[in-house]
Amino acid sequence: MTRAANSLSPPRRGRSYAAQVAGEVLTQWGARLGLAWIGLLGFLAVFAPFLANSHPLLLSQDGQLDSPLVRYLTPADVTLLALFFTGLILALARASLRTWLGGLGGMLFLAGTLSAALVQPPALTIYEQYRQQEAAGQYDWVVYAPIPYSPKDYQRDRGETGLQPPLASPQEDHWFGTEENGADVLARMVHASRIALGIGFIATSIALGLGILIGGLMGYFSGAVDIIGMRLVEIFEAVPTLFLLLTFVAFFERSLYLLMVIIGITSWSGYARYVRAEFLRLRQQDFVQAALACGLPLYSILFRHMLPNGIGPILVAASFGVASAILAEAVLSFLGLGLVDDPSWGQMLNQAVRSSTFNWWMAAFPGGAIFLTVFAYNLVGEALRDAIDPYLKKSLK
Amino acid sequence: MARRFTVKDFFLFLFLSLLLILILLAMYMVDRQWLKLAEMERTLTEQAQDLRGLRDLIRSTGSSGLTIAPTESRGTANIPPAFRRAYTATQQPDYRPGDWLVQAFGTGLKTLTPLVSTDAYAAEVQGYVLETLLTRNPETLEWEGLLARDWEVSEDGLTFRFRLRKGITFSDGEPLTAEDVAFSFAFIMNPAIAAPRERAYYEKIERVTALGPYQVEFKFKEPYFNSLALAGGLTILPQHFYGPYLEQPESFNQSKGLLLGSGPYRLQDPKGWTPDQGLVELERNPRYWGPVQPSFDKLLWKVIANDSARLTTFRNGDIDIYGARPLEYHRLLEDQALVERTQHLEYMSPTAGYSYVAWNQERDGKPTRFADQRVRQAMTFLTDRASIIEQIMLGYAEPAVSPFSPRSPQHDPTLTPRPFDLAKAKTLLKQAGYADRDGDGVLEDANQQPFRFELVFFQDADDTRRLVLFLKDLYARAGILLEPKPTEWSVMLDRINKKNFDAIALGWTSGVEIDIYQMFHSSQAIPGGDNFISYRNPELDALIEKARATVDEGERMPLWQACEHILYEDQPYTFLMRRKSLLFVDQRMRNLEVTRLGLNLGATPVEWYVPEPEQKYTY
Repeated sequence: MTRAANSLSPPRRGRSYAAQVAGEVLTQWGARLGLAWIGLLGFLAVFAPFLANSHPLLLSQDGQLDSPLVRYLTPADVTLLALFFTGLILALARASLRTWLGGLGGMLFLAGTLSAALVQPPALTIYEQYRQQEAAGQYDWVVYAPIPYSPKDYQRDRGETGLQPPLASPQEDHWFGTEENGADVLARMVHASRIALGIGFIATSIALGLGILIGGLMGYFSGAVDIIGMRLVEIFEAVPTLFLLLTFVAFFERSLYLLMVIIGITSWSGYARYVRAEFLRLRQQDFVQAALACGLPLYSILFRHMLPNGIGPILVAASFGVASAILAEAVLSFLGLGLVDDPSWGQMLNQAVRSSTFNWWMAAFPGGAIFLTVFAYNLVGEALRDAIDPYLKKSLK
Repeated sequence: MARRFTVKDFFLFLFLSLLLILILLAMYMVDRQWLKLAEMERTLTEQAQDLRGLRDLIRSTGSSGLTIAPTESRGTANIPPAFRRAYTATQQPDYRPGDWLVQAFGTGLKTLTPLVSTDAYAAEVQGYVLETLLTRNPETLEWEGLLARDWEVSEDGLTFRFRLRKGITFSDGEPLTAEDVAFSFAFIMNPAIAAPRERAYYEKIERVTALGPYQVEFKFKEPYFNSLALAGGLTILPQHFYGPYLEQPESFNQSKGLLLGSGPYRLQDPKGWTPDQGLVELERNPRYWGPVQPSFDKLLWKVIANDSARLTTFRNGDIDIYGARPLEYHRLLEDQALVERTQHLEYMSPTAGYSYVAWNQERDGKPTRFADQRVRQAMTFLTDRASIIEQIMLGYAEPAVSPFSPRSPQHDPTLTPRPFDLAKAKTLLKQAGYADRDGDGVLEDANQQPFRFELVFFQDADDTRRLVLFLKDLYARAGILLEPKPTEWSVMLDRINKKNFDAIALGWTSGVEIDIYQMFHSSQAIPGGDNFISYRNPELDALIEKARATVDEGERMPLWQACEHILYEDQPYTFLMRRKSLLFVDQRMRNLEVTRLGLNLGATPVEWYVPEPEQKYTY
């Protein structure tokens, strides 16, 4: 008797709130497709150097094996790979959320510092050398990445004049055509997925962190703190992010990190409003009063008792925020103010109407990628909202 | 009880709104009548004024016993040399005055006021409105009198005396006299007027005096090779129009559209143009004094900032001229419909100038890597201009050797552009003390500092950006790291003024015979000066000064060529190329001709025309 009862109950009891939400989100087809697309992007972002690279994966020269691709890996490549495999191991070990966060955070710190210190790829790259040496017969055999072009390989040696439609250039092996300098569009798109994902996640994390901190304090203390905080929120809401970005880019360096930080610190106000409203509601509730009466420290009340109960709607807003951060970068690059020769979807889209003709492949592929990514985040965000919002759940049932 | 909306109410409202609309329309109509009346009144007064002038003329000639020459005599003998080309155009069998010439500007104009405006677009418009004493013949490059009938030069070359034509009036009917010439100079030299660039240029002139109503004298402080061009190129401003602004110079310096002159075209309202109109419209000057009247009734410039929009407008036939970029030109030539409907021209304009990479030799008071002549020479050897021209300009350019145009006598034909030579560049860099000391492929100097530099360029120029990326790949072959630095124009000007850059990609406009004093003379390496790379060479300084002070052309040209040899050896800039102008012009336009001064568009007297059957715009 007892054995039978035991075998039935544990799975239900062990499901945390996070797991429940995740399960509910995954029942929706839209969210599944969205997550699949984001997952694909993540895969492309992590393995970009192995998917599209002019440096050969492996070659044999006079009997000596060499892998220029590995030699040219950057600290960012190595860190991303380390994070990916940590995540994979944690997933296989079915670790809890806290282990996940701890493991990934620790690995980010460890791999980041180690690779920055140890991994030093050559500062100088001459992409032609492999093709020239291969043509000269100096290699016994050579294995290239599936897309044998780096995003910044402009193929000067092959007489590419740029903006060739798919499979129409002299080499006929550019599946997505070439851009204005003659680089392979597919290779650039694969590498650009990093920027798209990175800018979305990091900018939103910054905004989320700031928003939760300021909004939480405002909501918990209310009164004067709330009044001052709300004015601060209003000031930041009045700053037009795009114009601030334009100004910054004009007068300072064009750096991806700077873009992330600016998008992050100008878009926290929405999250702060959400958190404030939630905390204003929660601070009156019994469990908070009880925690207060027990004399728990402030950070414990704020972040261990109140935040977990109010974070749901914020996560939903964040998933939409990621999409808008990606769009902001794309808009900036489209205006020609993004990175100089680092690939980005917006910058590629910008070339669709260059040189007096409509270059359809420059509009379709990067434009499609931006559309799908923003759409995917919106799908996930909607599914999250459906799963989290108790009122909506009630009306559905 | 709520009142219901009945049929009666409906008709009442209908009636009321009809009444309102009628009142509005009536107001609008009256307003238009007033405008029309004012315009008619203005024309009438102008005509009365002209009649009075004519009467005076007849009376004065009658009393002195002269007969008026028959104005209808069509002999070429009466046509002054400056108008000969335009006159030949009017003798074509299909010639007929009329129609408009419509062009487009890529950016909006800030102001049309002469001296205050700084951009080439405003200068283009002013070229049709303001006139100079002399003009250059586009074929022989000789000077010919425009406002001036003839002129004489004193023995020492310091005094120029011009005799003006009689009977010239400004477009508002006031006569143009020597007083206006003297005034134009005094106006520029007045420190309250915001014309520092022109002032620096005209400082060589000591004074301009009106000797009589039709005679004016220019006195130079020192001999200057280009003095005739300087005096003859002075645009003549009407004293009665601009004179009052000397009292209130700020309102002149801030003005948007104060433009009045004696040229073949005029602004309808010489004080009222504002940038927010989005276009510039010039109408025929009804009182143009010239023996050959311009062919177009109207000149129109629309502001179309977007490149593709401008091209679409041109395709639709709404603008008449489109200047294309190389890749674009190449593609448009494949467009059969467009090629059939238009004429396309590719030509090397002597005024188009050259592009270059300037190597800064001094930063924060310390010499940079580029202070070493061998390094600069190596950079030039590394700059594969042949491939750049082929791959980026698609062949529509030629390599530049020096600031002097290869078609100018200032150029020594024995000098040829340095070819791409990686081995030579590496040798030079080795001699200068650069070697790869830590095996990473990048060159390091004696202090273990890698050879890395920033190249500043204008961010919105597509071809320049592609060029810079090309240079990056080229320099990488020798182990030099180039970091592209796209910059906004205002920031770029600031960097140039503060000399805060490693290298910069820019261009200078050029001319038939150019003065290199402002960019290469040591004295110009001051803050704000155009020698922004702090290039100093005493030998070159002496040659430039000597050449500038030599009036005789036979003696001057060898001096310029000697300057060119020094620049070739020193490579303060790596001279990149001179671009071809690639132009599409609507089929209607006739008499297009590429002269030694470039295309004859914008030449005054106007030489283009549209035959009658193809005229589009008629009143």
